[in-house]
Amino acid sequence: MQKRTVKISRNKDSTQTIFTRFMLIVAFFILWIGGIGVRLVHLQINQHEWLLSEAQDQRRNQVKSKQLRGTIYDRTERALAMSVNAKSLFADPSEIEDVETTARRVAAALKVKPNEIYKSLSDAKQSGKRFVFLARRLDEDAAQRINDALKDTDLKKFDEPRFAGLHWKEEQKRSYPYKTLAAQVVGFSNSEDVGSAGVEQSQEELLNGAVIRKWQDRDRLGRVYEEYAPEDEREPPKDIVLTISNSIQYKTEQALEEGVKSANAKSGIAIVLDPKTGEILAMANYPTFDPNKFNEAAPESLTNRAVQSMYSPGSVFKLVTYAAALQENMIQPNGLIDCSRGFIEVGGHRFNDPHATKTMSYTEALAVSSNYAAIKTALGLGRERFYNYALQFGFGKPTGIELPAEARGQIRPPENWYGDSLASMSIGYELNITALQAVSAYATIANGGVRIKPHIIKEIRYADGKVFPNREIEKTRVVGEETADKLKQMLRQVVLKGTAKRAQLNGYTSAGKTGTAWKYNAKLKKVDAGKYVSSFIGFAPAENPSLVIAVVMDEPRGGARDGGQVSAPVFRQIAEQVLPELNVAPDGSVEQETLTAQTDDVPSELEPAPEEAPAMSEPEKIAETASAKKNGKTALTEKSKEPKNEPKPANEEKIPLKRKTADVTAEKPKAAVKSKSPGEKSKQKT
Amino acid sequence: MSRKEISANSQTKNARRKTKSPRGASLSYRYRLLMFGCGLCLIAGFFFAARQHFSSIDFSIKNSRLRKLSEELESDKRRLLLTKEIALSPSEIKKAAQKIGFKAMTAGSAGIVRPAAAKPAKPRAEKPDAPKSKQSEAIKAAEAATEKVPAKKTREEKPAEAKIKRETSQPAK
Repeated sequence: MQKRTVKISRNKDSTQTIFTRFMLIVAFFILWIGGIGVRLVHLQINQHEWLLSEAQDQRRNQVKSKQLRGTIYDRTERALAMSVNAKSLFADPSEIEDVETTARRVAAALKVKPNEIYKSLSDAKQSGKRFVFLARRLDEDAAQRINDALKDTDLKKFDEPRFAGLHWKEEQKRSYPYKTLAAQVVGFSNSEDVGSAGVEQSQEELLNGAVIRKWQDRDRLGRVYEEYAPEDEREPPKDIVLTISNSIQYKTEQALEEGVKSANAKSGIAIVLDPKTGEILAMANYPTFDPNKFNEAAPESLTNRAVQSMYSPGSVFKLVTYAAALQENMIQPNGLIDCSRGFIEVGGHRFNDPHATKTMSYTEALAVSSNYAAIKTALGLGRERFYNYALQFGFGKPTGIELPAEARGQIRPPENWYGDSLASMSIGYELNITALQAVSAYATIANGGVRIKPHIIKEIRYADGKVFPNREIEKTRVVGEETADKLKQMLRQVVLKGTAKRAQLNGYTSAGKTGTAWKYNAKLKKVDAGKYVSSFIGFAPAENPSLVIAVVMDEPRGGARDGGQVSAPVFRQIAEQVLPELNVAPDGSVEQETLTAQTDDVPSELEPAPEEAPAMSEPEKIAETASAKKNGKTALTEKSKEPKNEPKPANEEKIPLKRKTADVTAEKPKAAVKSKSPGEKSKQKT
Repeated sequence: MSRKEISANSQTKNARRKTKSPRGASLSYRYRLLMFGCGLCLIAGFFFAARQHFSSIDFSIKNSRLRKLSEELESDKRRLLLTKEIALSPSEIKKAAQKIGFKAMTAGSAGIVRPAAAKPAKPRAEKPDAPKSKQSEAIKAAEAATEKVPAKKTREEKPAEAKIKRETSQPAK
């Protein structure tokens, strides 16, 4: 019994021991698991962010790429500017051990001198730079050639090129497939893909592609197995369709180039506009440049002179004078004006007119570009009315075309005019305009008196092809339809019988006006009688115009210098090629023999070179007044001989000769400058 | 409690144990089977998940390659478009046309076909039209004649020359 009791107690002890040991092990495990749990909590809660980023860094890398810049199309959907993907080779010098060998291998692959590569790599390594461009914007074929040349078989690297420290960067290259075609209109984008001229600059916001950040997860071999990009932060770039037609643009450029070369001119501008819609079909400048190599272009050829350069229009501006007078019912096309005097004196300035030889109709006066008739008409209108009409035709303010740096032109308000300003302006001096403003004014007449805002963007398109909501085209009535029709008939006579016979078309009727203006010489502070701006602005067909074309030649230095001889033939060449392309039916009212007009048949618009004669002295003035009185007329009092429908001249003689302001930059005829007193001259110079 | 009673009790317990043991053995067997099944499911699940995981990575790699390929093809397409645009540019067409012997058409060399309703042509007998090409040649000759005037002239020469020009260029009235 005792033995049994001892045995039971021994059993009890061993059970107790086992239990105790078991509990110890359990406690150990609980502590162990608890410790692990605490550590896990610490790692997953307190160090979550850090661990996450560490894990991501091991397998994930970020790739930045830029959306391809929007494409610029012409109206026939031909791409005038488009971007393609390109690759740039760069080095991370910190990953390169042997700079010399690397430089030699890379130079051999790129076919450049190794010294340059070595210098750039060693300099970057010393200064701790981690990014050095070795070659930029290479196409796929060139990149593949370099990959093959730089292949290091011993290196375990997934990405190409398989060479230590060298990487490719995805970039884009802007290309202009039509090279010089519409170069100033399309513009170009710089090395950073930012538009720097033309539509590229003005529509930068729409064309520019957003930077997209993509994350790539890679396995241990560097293979990408997961790729994701966040939702686009910006809308994709938009495509722009221009109103330009590549074919018309090409023909215009060819004709302009030929014209500039044959006239030996410094430069030339040509604009082709659809008067019914205000769409610019072509805008050419010569000399021009290739936007693919804009770095090599002469700076002056980068300017779009059609909208950025101003010039004195000369007789082309008589359109405003006659349009205003016709609208105000002051003149009629068949009304007569006595131009036999040959000159007119306004505000102390004598305006000579070689065409003023007899009494003629206003139509005839416009045809031969009589300054006398235009000045008399403007004097009848008065300052305010003339100025208001000029503004209504769009002069003195930008047209609002979608091109950068558009010049607004210069036309001073009447309170800043001189005594002879109205007369000067009526024949296109003392004011500056752009070629686009001029073509827009003629388009107003061609369109029945309604001015349509000229524009160069036809539509803006989303990446999915959806078209941006159309903008309203501004329309303003400037003169009545009847006035416009009368003016069309008058301009038609300029081409048939006047200074623009060379603008007659084969198979189509045409109308327009020539202009030849002296250029202002900033150094001499006066007009330069040897330098001209010769222009012709016209439309065709004359009755129902489909095209308005402006041709402006800067400093023609050949034998022929006036607009009718230099610019009108370019107009003809453009119109004859473009009208059939637009399916305009020939109106067949042109007789073929008129096309054979010889140089001598075309009245020249050129005035004699300004005389060097000083301003008239007081005794001379008295003598001239006396002689005029003897003849029963003065320069401004010829009412008795004037027909009834001729405008009454305003009291311009009452305007003091003294200049009111000194902010004149517009050109003035040399004769006008010469007639001023020394004090007045100094004011003008300022 | 007497010894007999104690032994009787122990016998009863043994007997109970004997009757219980086969039932316990069957429970344990089922339990083991369940455990085995669950283990098998778990292991199969692990294998399945691993297979899915690796195949997903494999697909992702293939997907990524295809995406890259698609991007490259898109780039190629744009490059081809660019090449097409270059080939279609008027200057290139002109070059190609000249290569195969075409000549640029001028207004003089083109015959104008006028609509029937237009103004009837003048009878040729009265005033025969010169051939158009000859007309354009005449114009060119006239232009060339004007171009022959020296570009640079002294200032003294200009007024006289302008005067002569004016006299000769008065329109016939």
